[in-house]
Amino acid sequence: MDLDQKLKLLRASAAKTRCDSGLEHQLKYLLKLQKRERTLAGERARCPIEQCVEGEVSRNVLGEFFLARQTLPFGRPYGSSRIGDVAFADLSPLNLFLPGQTLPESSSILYLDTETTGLAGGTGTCAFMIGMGRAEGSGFRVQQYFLRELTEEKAALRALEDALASCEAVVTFNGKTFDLPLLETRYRLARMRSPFERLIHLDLLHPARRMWKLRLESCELKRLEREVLAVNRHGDVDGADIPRLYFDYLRGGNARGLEAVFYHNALDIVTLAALAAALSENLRQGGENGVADGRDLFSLSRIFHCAGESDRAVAACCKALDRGLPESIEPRALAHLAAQHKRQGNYRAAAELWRELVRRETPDSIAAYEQLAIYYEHRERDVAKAVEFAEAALDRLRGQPNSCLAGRRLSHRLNRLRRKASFQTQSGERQTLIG
Amino acid sequence: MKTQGETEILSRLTRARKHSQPQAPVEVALEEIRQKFKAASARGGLTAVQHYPARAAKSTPLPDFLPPRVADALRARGIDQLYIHQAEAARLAREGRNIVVVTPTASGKTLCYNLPILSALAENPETRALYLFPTKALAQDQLAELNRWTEKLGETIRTFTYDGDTPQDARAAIRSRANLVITNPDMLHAGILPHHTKWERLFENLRFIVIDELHYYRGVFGSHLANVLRRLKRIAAFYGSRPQFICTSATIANPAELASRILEEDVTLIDGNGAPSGERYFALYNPPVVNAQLGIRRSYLNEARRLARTFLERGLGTIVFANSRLAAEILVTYLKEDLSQAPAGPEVVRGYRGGYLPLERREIERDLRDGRLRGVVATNALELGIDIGSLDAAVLAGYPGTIASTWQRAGRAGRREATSAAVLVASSAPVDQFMVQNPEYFFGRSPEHGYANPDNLHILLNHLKCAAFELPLTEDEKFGSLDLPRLLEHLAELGFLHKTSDGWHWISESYPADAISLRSVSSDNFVIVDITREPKIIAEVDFSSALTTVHEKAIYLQDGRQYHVERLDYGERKAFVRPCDSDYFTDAISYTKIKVLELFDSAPVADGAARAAALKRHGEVQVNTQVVGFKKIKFHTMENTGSGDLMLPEQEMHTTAFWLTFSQAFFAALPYPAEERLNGLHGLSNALQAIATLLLMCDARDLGVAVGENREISGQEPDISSRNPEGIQKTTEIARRTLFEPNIYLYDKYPGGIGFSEPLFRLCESLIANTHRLIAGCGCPSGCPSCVGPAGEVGERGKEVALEILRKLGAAASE
Repeated sequence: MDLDQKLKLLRASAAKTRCDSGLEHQLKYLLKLQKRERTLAGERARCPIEQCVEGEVSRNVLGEFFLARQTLPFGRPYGSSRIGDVAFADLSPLNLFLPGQTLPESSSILYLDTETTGLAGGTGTCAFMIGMGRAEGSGFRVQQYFLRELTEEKAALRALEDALASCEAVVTFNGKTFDLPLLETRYRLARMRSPFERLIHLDLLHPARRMWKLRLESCELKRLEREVLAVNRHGDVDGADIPRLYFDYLRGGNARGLEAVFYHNALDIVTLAALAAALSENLRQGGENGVADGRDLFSLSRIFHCAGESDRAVAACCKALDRGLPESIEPRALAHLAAQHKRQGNYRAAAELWRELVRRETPDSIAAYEQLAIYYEHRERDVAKAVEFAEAALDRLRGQPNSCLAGRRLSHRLNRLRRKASFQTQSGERQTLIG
Repeated sequence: MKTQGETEILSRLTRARKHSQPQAPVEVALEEIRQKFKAASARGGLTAVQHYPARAAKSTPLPDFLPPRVADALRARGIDQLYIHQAEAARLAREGRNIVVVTPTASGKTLCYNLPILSALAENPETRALYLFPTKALAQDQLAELNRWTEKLGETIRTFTYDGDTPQDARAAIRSRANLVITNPDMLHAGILPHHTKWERLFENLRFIVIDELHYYRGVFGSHLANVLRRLKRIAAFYGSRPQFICTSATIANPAELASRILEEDVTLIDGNGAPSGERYFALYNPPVVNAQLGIRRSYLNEARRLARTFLERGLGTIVFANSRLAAEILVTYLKEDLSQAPAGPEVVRGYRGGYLPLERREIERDLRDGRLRGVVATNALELGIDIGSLDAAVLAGYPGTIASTWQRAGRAGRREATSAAVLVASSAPVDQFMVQNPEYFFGRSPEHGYANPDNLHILLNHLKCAAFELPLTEDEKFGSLDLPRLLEHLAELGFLHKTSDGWHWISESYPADAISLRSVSSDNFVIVDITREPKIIAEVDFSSALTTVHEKAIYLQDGRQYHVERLDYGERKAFVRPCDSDYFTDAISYTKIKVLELFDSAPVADGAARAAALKRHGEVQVNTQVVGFKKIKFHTMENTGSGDLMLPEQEMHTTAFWLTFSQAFFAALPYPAEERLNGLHGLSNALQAIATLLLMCDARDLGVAVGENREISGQEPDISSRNPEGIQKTTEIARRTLFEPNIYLYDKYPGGIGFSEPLFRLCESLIANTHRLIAGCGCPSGCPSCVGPAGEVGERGKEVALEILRKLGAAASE
């Protein structure tokens, strides 16, 4: 039997016994492909990318690739703001997410987003489109490097290197775990040096989560775009379909399906810039204006707290409580605020909040009991009261799972307090005797 | 009848007594065992005792070419001389050769690879090496050993294990900084190669690859490893390095052949062992027969317990090996019971198996080394390499499956300065019985061959996908011996690859390594779901065994518990079960059809007069199997208490097979009725399978067996073999035809074949002679599970006919 026959048998027997899920998958794909080719026979005629997407072939020493370019004028509205506001927004408040680094002025920042052949990572995933945005002259310019064939990768990587040469920072969404490692891998595979090492990198994914996750269950870019920026996309492509659209293009050469991908990528980049601007504005205002939702204000307060800005943290948290919070979140905000007060030495205000928490008897109130025990011992010097609160905390802890550590800490405190109480009583009696 | 070995020990033990030489404690224990079971039935007791006198070391001074710092470190660890095999390994590795070192347990094997690597590191601190161990436990052990060297060398050699247990935050540092990375083939396959750009530093400086326990990589695992190494070499070449291989292996018949098959490089064999060893005994023990009619022997577990107790009561450090976790647990319980009255108490014995926590394991290992523990009952978890010091006695409850691992287990007992002993207690399995009754086979030159088939189409295609994922493939590359451009085209047709001017690129969203397991036959599994309360997955079984073990109404056994299968969802690959308490188990009835697709080679089995009797052949076949029903069999009495029909989809597989074709004249001339002749063939096929697994170091699961008709002559019905009554009847009808020419097939139970057929063709004469020994040596009157299968299955005269066929083939003469 020659190899051809064997391969045929392999396919045939896989179809028959379906005992191999890998081959089964291959087979399903094959069938789907055949079907599609039949239905799309009329459109099968080769439609090159140049006819579907506005752009041109770009060349450099390493070859050529397709370059799509568009400039969005500053006057154009984008959701609730304008492109110009986005492009020239002051991003310096975002520095608090970049300890030890400072973002450059907006013209030196490049917004970057890639479209890839998969999400699996590793050396077998390729960025077939590298999209970037930057404020330039009279508009926000979006450029997309597209590989008409996988062999154009080197030229595109080289062009990206050149584009980055005049930048000092890149802003991405999930770039830390996805886009940048992937591009670094591609540079290494192409035996080129990665240009990212010297650049400041702000990945907006985590800051955005910290800012909005209390209000929005999901913080994927599309959702943020709708809820935060009030932008509604039309005719967008589902991210999960993108690799397949590109594979179809590679196999058939028909670029029609890719129009949507260019559109999707361009919007992602503008959104990225708009999101950075919105987040920065939130931080700058610190809840004075603009931010309407209590949950966002509480999120802000926590961000300020982490950055060591206690005053702003207190102000934002007070505002959040004023504005009203859902029942599930409010106790957390109270505890958070109490902790801010305590840090600032504002013990009475903190104690007031702990007492409020204790009144509510939520599961979180145990910590408040403990705090009150500490407060009465050290601030009010009322050991009896401290014992009372420590006992109450321990009491409530009993019904809870995984309470070992806290339990031990509390019993330890309680024992110490009791010793102290009895010592105080004794020494009090002694004094009376002497007196 | 006494075997030579036994005579030897007898005379020795007697001599010792006469001259009132002090006897070693293990000798006293062995003598006691011999005495105690002397009165036992003829076919029980110690069937052979082999004596190995103490061996002096063969050493040589430290070679001049060792860097001074390495030589100093050796001296600091008390090593002033090297054993000759260590020196040889250092010299050949220095010359840039790929080597495979084959020496027994505890012969200083690790130095054979550590010495060349530490020397290279002393000369160039950027040197990188990759160590591959088949298990994580061995990797941990090697890490500790390498750290001891680092201490003595007084410089930082950054050594790390990299496997599933490595914390995520430590990985980046290991990738760029580690000199020596200790990992396993699975991690290399799925975690390292597909991310090779993150390992740039390693691959740029990769000089050595160590493969420990090479004999472990045979069959499917070996075929996969060979392909992983093909990928590794491509990646290394991309970064400009060409690593050299240092392998070690337990004793098998063809270590160099297996190594060069897997490495696809020239390999030099080093097998001149220079390590010293103390005096030792190796005894084979067969539990006495208690029911001659049914061929039932005393429980081997109970016998192993009694032997272990004999050693333990004398205060001898004893290790007991069991073949399953359950058996190990049972033995620990027994021995603790036995020792509860002893002065030392039951605490001196513990169990050791997979599933124990790492810390617990380390504690047991340490207590064994320190002598705080006197006994341990272990599974194969303790077989490989792990340092537990040296013990006095090893008791092996059941044959471990290969001679190589039998020696590895026995090697856990052995002291330089004192006498040690190992006893193998046979179970009633055919291979066990063969071993204890044919000691010369066991004690002679290793008959076990390791094989792999890296060009198995199925495996090769899977690894080509991974290779393309790692780096685009070009047509002029070398990757296996098949037509690469054609294979690439095939993968492109399936939508995995895309051809460009500079090669074939991976274009699929998936991560191919994730879908490919190096160890299991197929990535397709059934999960077993207990639906008593919340559905809970309790186990997984691979596809091929699922159909016979978890079909509807089957009794599925796991960890000694019984489950009734309520429903099998074939499409979803799920079996829904509930625990039950049943007095029977189920045995699936399957039906196998074999069609020869291509004949590779054919030759007469014997010379001279018997020449025309039978042909040995090998080639490609199509195997169709279907599970059509099941029998309910009562525990203990083995009565057939009912049956049921099943309709499961037919399975089809293309693979390779070895088969025997008996000539029509030969078969017709056997002086038995057609039905008995056919029974004889079935019995013979069972015994052939047992011996074949032994020669090929494989599991009975890896090798299918079937009886069918040779189509060349009748040109009619397809070959058929079956265990259900209907099928047997049909085959019997065929067998009555005068033109019937039967075939016995042994086929690779893996799509595309794993390389067993061609060796079986070559080893055919040995296969037949040893099968004859197995059947002739078995004491049962008319077939038992230890030889041709129970009489209930192969008929009253199945054994007789099988023996007659073998005799006529000249098997008896060639012994």
